[in-house]
Amino acid sequence: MSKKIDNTSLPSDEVIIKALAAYDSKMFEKLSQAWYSTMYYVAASIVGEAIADEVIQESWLSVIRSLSQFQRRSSLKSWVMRIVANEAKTRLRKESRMISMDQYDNWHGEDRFDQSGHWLDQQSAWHSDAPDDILQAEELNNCIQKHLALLPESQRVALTLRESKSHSLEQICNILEVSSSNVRVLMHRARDRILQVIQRFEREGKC
Amino acid sequence: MLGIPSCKQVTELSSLQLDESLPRLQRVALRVHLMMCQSCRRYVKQMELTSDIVQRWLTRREMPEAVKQRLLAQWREQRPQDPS
Repeated sequence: MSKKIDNTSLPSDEVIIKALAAYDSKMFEKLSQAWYSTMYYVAASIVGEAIADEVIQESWLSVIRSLSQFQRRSSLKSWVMRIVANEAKTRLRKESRMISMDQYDNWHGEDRFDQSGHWLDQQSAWHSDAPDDILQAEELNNCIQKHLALLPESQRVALTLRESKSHSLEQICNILEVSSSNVRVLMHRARDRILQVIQRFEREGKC
Repeated sequence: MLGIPSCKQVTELSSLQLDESLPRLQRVALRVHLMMCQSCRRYVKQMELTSDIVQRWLTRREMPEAVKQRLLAQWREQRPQDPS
């Protein structure tokens, strides 16, 4: 069973900020725990898993130091995730690495359509409309992990930043240094690929 | 048909509309297509589900104890010393 950390158990941003400013250790512990997973995947999508935890640590340092500058234009969580992405990118630059843009992309979603853009085969239905029902199968969780790792790097970064609810498409353009039409293609291909993974699992019960 | 997207275009719009609101005309054209096409209705629904599933998937990793200890130690260093 996948374990979910429920964000609804956290108090409002207002309360969190006050508590952190007063160096409330309990609040820090709760928050760092609740957001760990998302921070980890945001960092890992950019710098890789090996140093994701280091980036998280540096990010918390930045968060604590710059908390008084938080403008409340977004949620605190989005702001923290953007700090993580920026720390990860800084780290990448320090190591003279870049987010790879020209990786071979074997996406072949176009094969499903005829020349006029109609489906060749009917799209089949899934057994449930509830994400939790679909994620019940531990094997599918592992399967998603495997296929996220197989995505071209730029697609993985775009998908992770977007689904962590921290970055707008425009902000992702800035991180990846691509045009807005480019980022739309990346988003669609990444989501489509994961959709197809779930589709195959629903149909054939295998990854 | 003029202005009505093809199935292939619907699959692209189904991702985009999760990120930005589509212009009104495009929204109407999409709705017209969906009224006529069961495969696309399914796909659009599945695209929303996929996005939800990835969001949930991103929250499933648990923090290793060693990481927790490092973060708490760093937190304590940042904390001003008690006057006592």
